[in-house]
Amino acid sequence: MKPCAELASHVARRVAVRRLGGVHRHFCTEAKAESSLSLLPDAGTLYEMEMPVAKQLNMRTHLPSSLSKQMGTLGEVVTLVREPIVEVASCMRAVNKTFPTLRLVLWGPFGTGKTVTLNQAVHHAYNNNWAIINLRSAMELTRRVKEIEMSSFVSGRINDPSNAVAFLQNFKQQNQHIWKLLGELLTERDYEWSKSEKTLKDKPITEIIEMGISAPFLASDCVGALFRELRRHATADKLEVLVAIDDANSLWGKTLVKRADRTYAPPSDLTLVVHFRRMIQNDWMNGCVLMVADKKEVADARDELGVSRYTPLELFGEEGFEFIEPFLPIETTNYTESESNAIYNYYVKKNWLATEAARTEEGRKQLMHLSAFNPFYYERLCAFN
Amino acid sequence: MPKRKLRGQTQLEQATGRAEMKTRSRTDLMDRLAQRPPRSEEMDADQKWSDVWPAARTFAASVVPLPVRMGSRPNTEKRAPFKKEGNLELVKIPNFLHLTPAAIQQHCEAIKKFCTPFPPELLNTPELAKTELPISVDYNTYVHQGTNIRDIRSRVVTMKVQVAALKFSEHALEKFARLAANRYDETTGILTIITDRCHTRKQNIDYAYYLLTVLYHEALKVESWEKLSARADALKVDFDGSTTKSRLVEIIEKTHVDEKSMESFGKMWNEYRNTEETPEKTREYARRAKEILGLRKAEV
Repeated sequence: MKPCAELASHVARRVAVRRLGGVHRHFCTEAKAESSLSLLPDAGTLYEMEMPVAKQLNMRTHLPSSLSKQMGTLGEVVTLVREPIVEVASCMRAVNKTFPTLRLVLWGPFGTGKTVTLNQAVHHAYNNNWAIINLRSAMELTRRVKEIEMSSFVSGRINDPSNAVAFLQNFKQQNQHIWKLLGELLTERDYEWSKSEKTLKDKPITEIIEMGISAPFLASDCVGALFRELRRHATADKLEVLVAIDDANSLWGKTLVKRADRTYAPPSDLTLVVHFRRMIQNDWMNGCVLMVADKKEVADARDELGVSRYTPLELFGEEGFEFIEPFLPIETTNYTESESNAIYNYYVKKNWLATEAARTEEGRKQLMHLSAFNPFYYERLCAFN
Repeated sequence: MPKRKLRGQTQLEQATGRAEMKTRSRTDLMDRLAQRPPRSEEMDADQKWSDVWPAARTFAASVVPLPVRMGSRPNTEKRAPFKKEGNLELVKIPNFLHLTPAAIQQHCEAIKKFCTPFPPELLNTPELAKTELPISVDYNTYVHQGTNIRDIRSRVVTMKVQVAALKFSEHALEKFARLAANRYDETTGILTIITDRCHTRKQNIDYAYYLLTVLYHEALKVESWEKLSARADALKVDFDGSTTKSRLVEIIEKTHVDEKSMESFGKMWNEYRNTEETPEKTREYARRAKEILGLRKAEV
């Protein structure tokens, strides 16, 4: 990729329609996959996500907190196009209806942009009118379960109404751009949620979502049905689906959900976890599953001496790793010098770097080396200079 | 001040000739002559010490012609420690007076005729020891000041064996690894047996050899129930027969990636799953995964 230090000194520009040769399926003969998708600027450029779009995609909650605050302060979402998102975009371009879903795993050290890349991919999917299934953190399904209900559909399963409703609402919000299309997709069979509530065959699948949102005790089952229908329609080439799951390794991690006998339930007993795992399976077409392997699942915050690994096998564990294989690991790394310069110039332009010392050449170098090129620490340093 | 002359004054006068030197005649001269002075005072400087002190024995003041002193007194600058005669402290401690360099040399000369020269090949290439001398036995000998020359730690024996020299089959090696558990280091291929349960070093060495023999023969045995072992029981994860492979086969049918890349992927996969995971290995995994999934980097 070309280093674009000068280019980036301009203020962020709107997404330009540019073809970018990153990765492509060399056996791919269909013109569709090649032509429809390619709205991503060069690596090394800054690009802006329009605020209404960011609002629809719920970036305020999905982005890492420091970036989300910066978004509030500066009033815009500007991110740097880096190698991983270029790779993700080119993999998304290779998705087609004859090929099982591609599974990508973002991995890398702390603060190098796994979550940001995931959200850029969500935005990319939005630009290409894909359906977006975006989970803020799989850890919420396993460790932040407020209320539980035993499933009436499968005995032993544990439903999680609040998270299920929250997910459905988020899904509805993020997919407003294709809501009409989703309304045209019909259900395959009758769904009998309870004695009184049912969704008949050949009804729009948006009805399932509305049903789940209005009746929390059905929401967990509705998520499953929605996923099932989406997989079916994607395989039938009605739409493309991006499944973006942050901290996806938590789907095979530990849970804080207690059963009646006061033991912790394994994640495979949680209905939502089962549904998301089902979505990760590659037995359907026309989809791309983007996962983040994050060490927050295994790392102990109180252990100051231990250094946990951030590699996929370590984080997903044997079971999870075998489940997601074959997948493509995509590494996020620290900034190169030109990338950090691009961010520096942006901050200077926005007067975010306010002090005189920070705006000198000396200051630029100090920021770069004090943060050790780590994007998270670079942002933190810039926020206080 | 006493009225008599002090000894110093008398001696001074005798030396200058002012006073007469009185000689007293002894009553029983024969009796006095029969008492022999200590042997150490009569020794020649060029005598053979190893003949005087041929083997380990307790310190004897009359035999050792050294002005050794031992013990503690206050103000050592003013008064030196007690001398050797009648000094119990010197008797208590072990001594090495029989192990003078000359005595050792003499001993070595005497047993030289029983020795063979150190193999010159090993001097030139120390790596040969791995194949030619696969077993090494280590132990420690302790020397210290104290009343007892024994040390309980000297019984501990560490035996290291190059397992490759045992020429195991694949099955036997796996069984051996299971039996030896953490005593077998797979990365270096060395079995380490530490024995300390017997009282003497000799017994412990024998026990270590016994353990090695038993391990070897147990590893070679094939029991009837071993046929029942399933995939999940294997010590290592194998690419052949894994769900990953079956899924990849399906994909490959669609992507028409050649069989060769499948083989090389399997090789990489086996290494990735069965050794320590590092970022470099994950990058290699990514490279091969891209290849086999039919995704490749295009030239911009």
